[in-house]
Amino acid sequence: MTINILAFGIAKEIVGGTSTSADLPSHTTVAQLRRRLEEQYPRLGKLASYMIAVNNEYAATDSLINEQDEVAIIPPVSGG
Amino acid sequence: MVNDIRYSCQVALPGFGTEAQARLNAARVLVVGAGGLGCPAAQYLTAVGVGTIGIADYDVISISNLHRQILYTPAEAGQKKVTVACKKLQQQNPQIQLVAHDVKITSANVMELVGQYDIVLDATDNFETRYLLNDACVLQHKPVVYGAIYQYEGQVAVWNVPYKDTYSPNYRDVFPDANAAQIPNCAEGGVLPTLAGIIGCMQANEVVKYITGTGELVSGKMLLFDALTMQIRVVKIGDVTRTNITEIAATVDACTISAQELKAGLDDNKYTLVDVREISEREAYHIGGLHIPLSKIEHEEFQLPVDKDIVFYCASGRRSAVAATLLSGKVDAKLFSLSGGLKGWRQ
Repeated sequence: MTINILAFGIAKEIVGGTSTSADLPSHTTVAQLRRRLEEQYPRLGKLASYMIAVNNEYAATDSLINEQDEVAIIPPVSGG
Repeated sequence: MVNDIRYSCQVALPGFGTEAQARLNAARVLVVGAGGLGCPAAQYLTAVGVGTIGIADYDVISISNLHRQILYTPAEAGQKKVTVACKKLQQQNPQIQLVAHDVKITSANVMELVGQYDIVLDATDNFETRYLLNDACVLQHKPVVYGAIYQYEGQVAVWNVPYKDTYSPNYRDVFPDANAAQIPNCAEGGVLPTLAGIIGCMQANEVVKYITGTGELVSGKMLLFDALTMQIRVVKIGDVTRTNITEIAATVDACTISAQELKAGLDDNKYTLVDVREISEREAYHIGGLHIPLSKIEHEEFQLPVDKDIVFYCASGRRSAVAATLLSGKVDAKLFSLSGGLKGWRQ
């Protein structure tokens, strides 16, 4: 399945745009998606932490991703 | 005394009334950071009649702040933000009490400072202070109204609100840790000034709602605002926190050097300068020395001469402080960070 992934904050710069996509086997967990993204975008792994939201909800590492899901990478932001 | 006419247009709101106004008048709010978020937030909290407002900041006003830090004027460049902010806010509302805290928040003073207030508005510009405020508020059972901005995007949330017999999620539920070396702040990544105003106002809005018990807070969730598309997205985090914060992590401070001291020391050939900015920034302007971007320092891909003390510099003093802290104890030379960065150097 192909999943469209929205990028926020510094993740936009890391993935090179406001969204990216990933071809994933069905029954992929959020932990697997994170690993996959960090292989593709090593800078993501250096952020120490970032949130993965699925359908506007914080997604725990063991949640499953489905084909119609809207996935977002939300890194921390420091500015003030 | 609550001046009825001054507050009449908010007291008239459905679900507000004189009782809500009295609660505002009795409330004590700490605004940490008198910058892009802190200026508008503090102005609205002042206008709305919060009885006691503490402002904590240790920075001075610089010309590059003025586009978004709307309490300040060019004539005030070089003055302490906290002094100027408190003076102007007091003029805006003489009925309230303003308390200036001219301090850098550290693990040593955060508990005492937070302890003096009912609620904290996090308008800081760095992760270290955000985590300190979060952890201190969790330990003292106080809410934090969080706001953060980057380029065209902002985040808002209210952390650590009582929920049943526990508390709503806090900053560490969403971001357990952050790598400051990897995420630029406003000085480096740029920021839309109106975004700072919007997010700062949203924070003040949540403080007013919390104090008066009006409406529904952004707790258990985080609001994301995109100024380019005007889209608001609210991400649900969960009802309760899963963290277990038991103490304040000790902060490590980099040794800093002022622009004045550095200029004098360079004349005597006392320091090796290291520019930790990106190459594009260096090409635009630099003050010499070696060039090792922070990303390389983080991965220890460099060699430093250790015959003299080393001074790291960047645009604002933030990245250079990260560099000096990262290498503390690993390099056989005394390490400094140029306080205020090139911004301070050029003034």
